[in-house]
Amino acid sequence: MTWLLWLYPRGWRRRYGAEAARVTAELVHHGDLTRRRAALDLIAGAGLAWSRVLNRPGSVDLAVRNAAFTVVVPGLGGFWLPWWLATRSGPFAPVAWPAVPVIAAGLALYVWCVWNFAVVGRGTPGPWDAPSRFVAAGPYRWVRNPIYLAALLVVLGQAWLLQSLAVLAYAGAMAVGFHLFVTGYEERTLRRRFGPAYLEYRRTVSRWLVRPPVRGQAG
Amino acid sequence: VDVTSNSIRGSSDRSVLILTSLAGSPKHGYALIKDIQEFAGVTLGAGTLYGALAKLEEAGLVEALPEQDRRRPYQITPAGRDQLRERLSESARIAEVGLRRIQEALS
Repeated sequence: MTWLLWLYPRGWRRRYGAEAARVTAELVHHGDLTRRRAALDLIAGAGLAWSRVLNRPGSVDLAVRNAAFTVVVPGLGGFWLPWWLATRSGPFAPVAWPAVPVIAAGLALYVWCVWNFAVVGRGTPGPWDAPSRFVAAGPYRWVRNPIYLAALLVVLGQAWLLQSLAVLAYAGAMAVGFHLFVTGYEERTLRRRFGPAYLEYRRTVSRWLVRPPVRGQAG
Repeated sequence: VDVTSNSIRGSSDRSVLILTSLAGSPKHGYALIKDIQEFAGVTLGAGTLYGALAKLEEAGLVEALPEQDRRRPYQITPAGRDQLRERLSESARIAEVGLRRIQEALS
């Protein structure tokens, strides 16, 4: 039943998870609660814990800023532009449906990244509204720039779906642009803002290669 | 002040039960549940107990003591005691009015 603790926010789980698991076991063992009641209570508690995280001051504002960023930057560059490129010469004609899961995977990865920016860092992925805290959680433990990889997955998926060389070329240009922006601007800024914490992170996690996180690394 | 008074409202019953239990002495999770079961007849589960404890701890109304025997006891803070007194006096006032009105309606 302790798998239900994974429903809780990470901060809560770290602080109270072990105790909650032990107390649940004791309650069931002594017959104070049935397993069913104890499980339902853990689910209810997860709702309470999440509502506290989401009700922190400024959360609505944070959600609006992230939604606005998502519509403007990835929305224009990741969807509107590739579709315009692909459908310029003819009508919308998807031909390779297996590409849809690739696009969905990219979207899911993007949502996961934004979630970490918002909940852990209290900011957005936009460089002008970046988190004030260093985010090295979730997908950022596997690779340093997952949001760019998510964007490439989405655009490459569309090139495949629409069988468009123009979109494929656009994805290539995006990849080059991302690399130049990351090495020329982002890494310098992060180094200046977060110093040793960032250098240590850079030592353990690759810029573009996805690798399983080293255990015990700051998350 | 606003944060603390808001945190004790909302799901107030659980918070009042926990603070009442801790007003006597510090207790760890399972002891808290058993104590509340005894004086209030309600059995809290671990999810709702630690959900409420997290809120009370964040508001500074209870605090964690060092672990003993791999269990972490919690104790009420002076601010928690003040909040509890205020809440219970308010409940007592409401209870008095309610009971008097029932009595008046019957006679």
